[in-house]
Amino acid sequence: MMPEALVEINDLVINFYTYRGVVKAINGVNLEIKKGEFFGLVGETGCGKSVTGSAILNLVPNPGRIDKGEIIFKGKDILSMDEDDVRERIRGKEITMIMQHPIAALNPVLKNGDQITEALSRKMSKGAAKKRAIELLKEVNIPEPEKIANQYPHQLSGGMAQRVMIAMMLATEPSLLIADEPTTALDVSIQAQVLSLLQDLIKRHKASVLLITHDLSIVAETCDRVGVMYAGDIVEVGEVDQIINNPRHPYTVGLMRAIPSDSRKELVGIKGSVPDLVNPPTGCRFHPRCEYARDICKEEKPITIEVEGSHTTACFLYEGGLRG
Amino acid sequence: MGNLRTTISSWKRRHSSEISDAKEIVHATKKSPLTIVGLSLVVALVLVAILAPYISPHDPIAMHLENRLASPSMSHLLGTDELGRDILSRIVHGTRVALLIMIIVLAIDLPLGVFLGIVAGYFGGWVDEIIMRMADIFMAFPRLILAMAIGAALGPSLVNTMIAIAITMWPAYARLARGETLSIKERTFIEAEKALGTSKARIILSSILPLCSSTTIVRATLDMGNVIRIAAGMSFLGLGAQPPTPEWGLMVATGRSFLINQWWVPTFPGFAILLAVFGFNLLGDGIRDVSDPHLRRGE
Repeated sequence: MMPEALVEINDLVINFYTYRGVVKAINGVNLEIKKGEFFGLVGETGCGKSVTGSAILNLVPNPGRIDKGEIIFKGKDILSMDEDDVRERIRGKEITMIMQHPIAALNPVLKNGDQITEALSRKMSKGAAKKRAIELLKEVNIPEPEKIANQYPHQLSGGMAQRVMIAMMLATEPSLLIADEPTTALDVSIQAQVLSLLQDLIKRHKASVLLITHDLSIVAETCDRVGVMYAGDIVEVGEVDQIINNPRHPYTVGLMRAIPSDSRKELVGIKGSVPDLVNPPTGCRFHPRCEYARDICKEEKPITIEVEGSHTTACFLYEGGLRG
Repeated sequence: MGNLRTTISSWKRRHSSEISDAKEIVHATKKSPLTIVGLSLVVALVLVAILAPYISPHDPIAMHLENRLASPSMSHLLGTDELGRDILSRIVHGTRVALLIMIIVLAIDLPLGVFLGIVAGYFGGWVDEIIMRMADIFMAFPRLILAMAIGAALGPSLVNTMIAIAITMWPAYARLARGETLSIKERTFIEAEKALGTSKARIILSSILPLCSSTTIVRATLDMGNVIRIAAGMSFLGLGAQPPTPEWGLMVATGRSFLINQWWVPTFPGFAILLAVFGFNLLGDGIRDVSDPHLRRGE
């Protein structure tokens, strides 16, 4: 049985109005995150992963604007909700976000314990919040939680700070946790710890996770399903196995070839570079770098098609069962 | 007894970071002799102001015309003025007036300026335009001249002097607070707080205000001497305190015609102004250095 969708993003368009012109950052994204799943969103820097994440909270940074689309969360469109309603009912209650740089994401003037207490303040009394904060710090495997709670964020290591951050976000018991590159700023040795901690906690709290990363190895290890983004488009979505072992979209294929492994002697990069989104390529945005590009790719935007069960891709190669 | 000791040690453990901060501040202060001088001067001024009625040898207002313009002696250490009033007593009581003006002006300006600056910086748009253009209007004039103009328009009195100085000083704090707010509100932890659904008021109060406070408070300590100077200047010009209030600027003004033959009449109040402004400026510089962790740890 397929679990039902928790978040459904439909035809999301986000533009950034800069002095250089309009940056067409998100170009009609469709995405579905199911209840209790670990969804990975991968792509290069600047492809719109983080913006998609912040759009779910309706917190697109200036000068960005959501020009079209809807984000259905538990049957309600977040984008058409009242701003105060989103703040009261969604942010910090149903959906929260973990940031990339944990130390920068903690308030430098508050002690670690107080950060968590602050997050809990809408739910319970001060005394209860204090006790719960210590419990949460224990839950994220922080040794000596009482001592850490009394220190300031700058006294923590990156890994510790990320745990505090996770504890803070878990304090709100969200049903969706957006983790924006949660391990990028951490040592490799800490990365695995933080990820497995996240996985554990998510299972225990029965939440869903949207993991935003550029690291395919992290995705392979932790996620249930993956979405691949390129220049503001979702190019491929599928189960982790399908994407890793049988990528369909030429961009995903290119990404896979760029990962070092034992079986490959040579790394193959993707030719060219990410397009300037003020003047994005017409049609399929990947066509200038695609070795299979045909005339139609330059003219029309490919629609998403199912290639195998839940595995979908947006590429003309698979239209009418041409290949695969 | 043992109980007390455990309470103390647990208190120490809980506040270990505050204690180490305090130790560091004391250490940094000790290293800067000028800060110590400033601090001692300010502490002395405050003590004199508090104890004025007990340490002044004579009544600052009582006139003794038979003893006018007496030179410094054992009974009148700094001499008497043109109405036979003891100058030392008047200077001692003048400390109260000077500190009172300073405290009231800053107590109005600091919160007002910081509040307006944070609101302007955080909300931006037309709110920002209105507040900051108003600030620009006030900053377009030299402070002393604007204060004099406002003081003259309101009529000469001590209260009006305070109002006049307060009106000219808030824009400096507003600008500072706005600048800080602009950079703070883009930082990641504010984003994180928004993602947690924290309300605007709470973000402003619990995150932005504490981070703005260090720079604005340092600015305020640097301004303390200025307030005293401007207040004395306005009283000197007859716009501030009115006779017989023992106010330093006023004392210099009335005494200045005796400068050649009875030099002590205007000179000692002048010294009082000098010492007070000097003390507050040194202390302000010291606080700036000590409150900056880079300067503090750099040595």
